[in-house]
Amino acid sequence: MKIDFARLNHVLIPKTKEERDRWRSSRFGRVASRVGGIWWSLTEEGRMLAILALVVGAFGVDVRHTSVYVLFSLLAGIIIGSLAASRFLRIDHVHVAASAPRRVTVGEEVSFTVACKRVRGSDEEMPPLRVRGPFLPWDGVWTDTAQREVAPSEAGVAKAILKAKFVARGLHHLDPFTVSAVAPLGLACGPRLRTDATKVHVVPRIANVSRLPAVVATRHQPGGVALASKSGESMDLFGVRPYRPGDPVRDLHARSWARTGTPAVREYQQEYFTRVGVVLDTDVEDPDRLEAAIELAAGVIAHLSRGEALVDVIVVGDRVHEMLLGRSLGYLDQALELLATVERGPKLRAVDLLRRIDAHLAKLSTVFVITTAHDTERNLLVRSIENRGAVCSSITVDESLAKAIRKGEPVAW
Amino acid sequence: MVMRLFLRFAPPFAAGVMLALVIIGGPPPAAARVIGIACAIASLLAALVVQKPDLRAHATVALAVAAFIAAGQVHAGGRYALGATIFVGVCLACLRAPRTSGAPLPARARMRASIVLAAGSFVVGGLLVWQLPNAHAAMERRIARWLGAIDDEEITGFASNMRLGSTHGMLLSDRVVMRIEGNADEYLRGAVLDKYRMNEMSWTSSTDIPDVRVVTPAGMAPETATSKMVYARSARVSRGGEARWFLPVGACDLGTASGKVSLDQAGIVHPEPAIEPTTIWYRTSECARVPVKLAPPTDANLDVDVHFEAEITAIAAKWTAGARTDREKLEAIERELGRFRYSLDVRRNARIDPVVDFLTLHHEGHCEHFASAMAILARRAGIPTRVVTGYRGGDFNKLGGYTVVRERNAHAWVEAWVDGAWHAYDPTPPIDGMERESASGSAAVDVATYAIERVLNALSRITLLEWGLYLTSAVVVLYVIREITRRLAKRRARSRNVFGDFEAAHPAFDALADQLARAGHARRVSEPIESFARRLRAITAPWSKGAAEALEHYAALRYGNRGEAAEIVGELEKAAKGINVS
Repeated sequence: MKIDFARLNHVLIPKTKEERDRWRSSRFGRVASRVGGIWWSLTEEGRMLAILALVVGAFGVDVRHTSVYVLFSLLAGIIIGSLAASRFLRIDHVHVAASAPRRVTVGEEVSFTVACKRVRGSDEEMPPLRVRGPFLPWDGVWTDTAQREVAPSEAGVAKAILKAKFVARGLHHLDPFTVSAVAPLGLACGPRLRTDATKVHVVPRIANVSRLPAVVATRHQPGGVALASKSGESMDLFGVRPYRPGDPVRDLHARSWARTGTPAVREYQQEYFTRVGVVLDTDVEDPDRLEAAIELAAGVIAHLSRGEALVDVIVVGDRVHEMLLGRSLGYLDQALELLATVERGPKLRAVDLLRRIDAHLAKLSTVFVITTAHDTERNLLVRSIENRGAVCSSITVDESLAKAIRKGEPVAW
Repeated sequence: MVMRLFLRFAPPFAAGVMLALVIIGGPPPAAARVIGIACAIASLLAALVVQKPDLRAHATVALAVAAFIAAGQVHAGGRYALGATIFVGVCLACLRAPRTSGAPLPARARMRASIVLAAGSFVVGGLLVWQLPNAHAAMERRIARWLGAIDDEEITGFASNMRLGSTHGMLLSDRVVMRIEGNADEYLRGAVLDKYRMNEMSWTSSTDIPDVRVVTPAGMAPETATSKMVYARSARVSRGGEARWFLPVGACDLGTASGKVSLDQAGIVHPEPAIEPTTIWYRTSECARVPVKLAPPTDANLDVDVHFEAEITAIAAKWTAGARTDREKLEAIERELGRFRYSLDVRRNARIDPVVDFLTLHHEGHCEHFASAMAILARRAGIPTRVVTGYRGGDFNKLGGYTVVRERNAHAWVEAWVDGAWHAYDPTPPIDGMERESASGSAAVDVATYAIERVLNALSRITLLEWGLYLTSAVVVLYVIREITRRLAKRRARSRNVFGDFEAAHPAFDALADQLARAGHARRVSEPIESFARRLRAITAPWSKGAAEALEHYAALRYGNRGEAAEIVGELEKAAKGINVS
């Protein structure tokens, strides 16, 4: 069994913002945050010096025979002096806001922009500010740790860009960014201003799917999603046929009438997207294989989004998600956000799953089943879907395919 | 560029220079030297090799600090303090360089923060440098006491028995024991010990001869005393039967708050058992009453432990060979001991008696060793002796005009019976710092401390009933003051604004009202703004409409919070300008 040491390292730290907020509002959290407040009031340099001061203090315990305590005294004095001085650096006249992209792919760098500007009407000068990102759990890391202080422009505006990387999918609800002025010598920060909390969806990487089996089921299956606002008024020309009483006069095709001598009218057909379902099997022990399967699912959906098919249903594990977006084409985003939160699911039971998706199968042309193994249950699932009239394309993510997907190699069927 | 390079290499350079200075001055232990040099080189390499500025600064500084720690493994004194100050500055600049934007703080904030930073650093750093040695000594003693190595009596060192070397902790402590106003004699006697057995000195005469405690009547008035001795509140003095005063030989005309003290046969002054000793005043000359005569020696003053009698006899014979009188013998012993080394870090062979060890092996020790050795050697030469413990010297506080006796002034010396009287002999070689003047800073602090202690001492004499009375009076006075202040404030507010706590009118409104008054249209007392505006509207003047509108808008803003304040103020100002006063 693979042990995720990064996650283990943070085992005691609450994962979600809600859990963290709950901890903070607890009695212990309140006490800890007061004590920790001193630590958070120090800048990175201040913290470094504080740690060094402790080390120096430990080596300077024998004040009778060594002089090291003098160095300790100086360091402690400067740190405490800086902490006291920082209390005078309030920046109430500054307004801060953080912005971040809504989505970012796993492992890719995401930039957070923190904008600081002087509050309207204030004539106080803005000091150089230090912007600090929130604490990131085990799966996130700030990539540019050595942020310079940001100096305000003449107009009283300062902007800092902080970059981070996330190594796990999911909705990341980040704590506020903080902005503060820095005391002389740069060891402590003044009272902090906080931005609003920010949210980032870390979505899976999209596998490079270059070709999929042709979607061959009925193109105009009943219940399809019409692109026209009103049935029968679509502009997709089907052909020309002889006039029948009752046909709208505006549909008369003058050239055909002239050529044949009998009145002819244009006939239109309604436009449809082919409706597709994607079933993702999450019953897998190996997290890498699961990740590859998720990336492949994202790749399949992305590939389908470029064609005329519409992903109508996504089944993840034993849960069925209807992607009812009407004529909107934003289902890829929705699907990615859905896939961002996928965890290892329960044991796959074909009968149970079929019962859940049965109602949707009649409307689907094709179903892509992404599995992680070959076994009776999975075969039964594929056969049962086919028996219900939909074309079922099964893709098994074995070790070699998983490797190819993780490497970003193009995959095709 | 040059500055950047300087900041990059300054920490290892500064640490290296300090290390070199320390090695030249008084070399630290070999391991510290090796580690120091290695860390300085590593710091230099980090400054050269590491590419990321932030990481480089942190690594360089951390390794340079390690080198600096190694350099501080000896008592390097002032140069280390100076070097540390420069080094810390350099490290701060190095750490800050990768982060700073270069833009300064706003002038006012910078000034305020800098002052607080400088003051805070100076006070905290100074306090730590000043008090850490004391805190260390106190902690060391506390741990030793906790481990059972010493007990309270041994800490004071001045009880009726004492283990040899037990004043060691006191000799390292700066804790104030007492302050002496007026004449301060050099030797202050606190305990007399006449028996030495198995590393322990004790007072036995009290068991052989009944203790003569003389209860003196109320002493003289404090004003006529030549000296006044006040125990510091921080002093750890013995209580109960072991409580004692530290007075010079021949102190007379003693006076205390209770009016009663007692003297034992060795001349040690004790307070009444139930009374906590705080202050005593006395004279050392022109005594109205003759001081109590000290008891003559007993057999205990010639007693030597049989376990080391042979070695001591041999040494005594060797050292006093050629001396004929007791005085000569004592001087000879004193002279011989003068060649021994005074040290607080005493090395000892645990299997040998400390006095024999001191005399035959290591030849180093502190006052207790010198005094015990002299006392025992003199006894073998046939002279009755005893060891006296107490305090010697003290720091003279120029500001306060008194002498501060600290625990480090604890001392032991010898009294020998020569020519029918006890004479003091001090075989301990001169010790640095035994007699000195307080530094100005610490003198000022001590004056303040002494003043506080006097107040506290006075307060501690107040009875519970008196406390209750004073507290009640204080509460009543505070209440009266508060009431008066409140009423005065109310009256002032009333005279300032007849409408009570309403906000004052906007200056632009006042300006317009003044302008209108000058034009002959003053607002009547108690006339609402709206009525005033209506009245103005009826006037046939080019400015009347504008002024009336401005006033109406102002009334709406003031009482209804409607409209934009800035616009209305502009309107008021415009209206005021438009009024033709001529």
